[in-house]
Amino acid sequence: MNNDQDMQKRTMLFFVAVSILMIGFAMFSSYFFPNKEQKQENQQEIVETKSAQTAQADNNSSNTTTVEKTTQTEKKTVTQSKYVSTGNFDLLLNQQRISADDLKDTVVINVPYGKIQFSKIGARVISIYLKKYNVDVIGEYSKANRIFPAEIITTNPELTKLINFSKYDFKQDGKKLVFKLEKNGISVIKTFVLNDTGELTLNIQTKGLENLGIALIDGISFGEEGSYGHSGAIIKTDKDLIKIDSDIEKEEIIRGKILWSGVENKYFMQIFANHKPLNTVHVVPVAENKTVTFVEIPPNIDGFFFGGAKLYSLLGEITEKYQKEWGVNLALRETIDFGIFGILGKPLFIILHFIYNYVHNWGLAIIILTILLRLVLFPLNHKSLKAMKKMADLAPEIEKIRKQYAKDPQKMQAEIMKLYSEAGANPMSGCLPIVAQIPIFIALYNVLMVSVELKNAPFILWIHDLSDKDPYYILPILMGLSMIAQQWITPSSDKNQKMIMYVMAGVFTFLFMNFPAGLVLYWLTNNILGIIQSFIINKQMGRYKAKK
Amino acid sequence: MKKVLISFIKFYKKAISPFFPNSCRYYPTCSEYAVQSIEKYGALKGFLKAIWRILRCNPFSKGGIDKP
Repeated sequence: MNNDQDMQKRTMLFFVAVSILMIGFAMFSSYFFPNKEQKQENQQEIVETKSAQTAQADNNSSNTTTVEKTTQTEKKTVTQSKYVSTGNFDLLLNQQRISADDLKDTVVINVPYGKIQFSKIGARVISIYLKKYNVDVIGEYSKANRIFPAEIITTNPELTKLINFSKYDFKQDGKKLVFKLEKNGISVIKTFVLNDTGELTLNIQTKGLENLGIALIDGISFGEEGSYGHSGAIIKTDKDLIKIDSDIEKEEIIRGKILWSGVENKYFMQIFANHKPLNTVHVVPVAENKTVTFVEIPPNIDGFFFGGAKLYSLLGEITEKYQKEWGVNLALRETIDFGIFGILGKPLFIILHFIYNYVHNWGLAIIILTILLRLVLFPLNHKSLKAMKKMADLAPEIEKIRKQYAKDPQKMQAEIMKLYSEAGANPMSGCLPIVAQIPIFIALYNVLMVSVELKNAPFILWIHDLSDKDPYYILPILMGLSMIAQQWITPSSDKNQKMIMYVMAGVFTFLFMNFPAGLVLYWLTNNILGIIQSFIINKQMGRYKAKK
Repeated sequence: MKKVLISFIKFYKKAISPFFPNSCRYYPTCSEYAVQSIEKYGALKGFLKAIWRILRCNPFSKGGIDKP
């Protein structure tokens, strides 16, 4: 009875602890990683309330006007950006940009993975549409403010205008696109070459700009993919990988041997790499959570621009290609962040990817990986379950000890442990297997959260995107049921324990509802395998007993 | 430092540990062992000893009585 009450107290304490942790984390993440999606929702809500209120015409009109004001100010931040003075380099973020290019005089190139669009005004990349993900790597902000990758910024605003707001002559020669500008004694030739790997070889030759500082825009924030993962500027030097968040307040300048630079979010990135390391990168905040990255360049450059998905195999291919051509290790794969348990996460991902190459279904690959992980841990689990069964045979003796030392629980525990080690059957799996499972789970969670491979990756039937939550909550509910089933089948004498497991099943079901379907799939498979395992052991033990 | 660590472990024992199946193969349990060894050897050495104990607490060990 006393024990029951104690257990209830502990249960309460547990839920209080968990809820504090969860609320704390939610507050922490909303404070440190403000979510763009939420803001958009807010905006929509405001518009909705506005229309609802205008329908109720005479009802509190003062309220309506304030609402209107907030929508207007928010719109302003979306379409018009702040005027930013960058010292030497001026991005000229003003109305002139918008009126200079109506984005109609364009060159559209169809590629196997989607569509690339260039504007003849300024010879800039204005759209890289990826069919598979239904995503444009050049974001809304770029389009609204007409600021694009491959733009040349100089220290003379008049020349910057001339170079970016003039129409270039365009010539196409197979996969080679040549944009040419000759005006006022200045000549700029930008050559893009479409490669099979998806990156654009970019060659720029200028004349008449020798006395100025010039820079190339290679990354403009294009939005976030959920609150997880880094989004912001990213710079690779010969020494390390520098990540700069998009909510910086002042311009940041990075000097060193810069191999490449640009901007990333969880799944996609825009970067420019030069065949010879460059020296200086600027990251300039231009609007709320938006930065522009540009790198200072010599008058002539030869490199590539990549705007696309951070696919592990693709990034490896590109890295290898330029390792051969330039003799430089670009290490593009480092941009995939496998989290704090990356040491575990990376091999897990590589195995997952390896399996995928054979089965061509990420869901199936996750199931196979789970089975493999189980097999590795199986000797451990198997032994502990066997011991658990043996313990059932020892039960009468344990009961004796329990009665004998009822008043001294510590002595009781010690005696029970003694009995176990004498009988050579310890029912406990030990703390290590439980502790070891935590990093594996976290590592896999990170892998499934950051891998663009899982985005829009269908599994079977109703699941069309393993990186998103299950739309009908079928997997989480199945997972909850599997936890309950596991409790039924596992031999355990403790009633409290069973009760707690039922509660846990409920809590986990709710917790997992919004998790990526791939992760729930892992957990479900793991549970089902556990059930099968204990079923087999129960059967074998039954036989053993019968023989005896 | 000592006190902070011990209070963390005690909190774990009270609030979190009841929700995992009893799993320790030793007496005293790993968490009790951690508290005792930190008290006995200090924060750093005691903590390392506790980690070593958790590593030893696996299905291949015999278990039984093991005091810090």
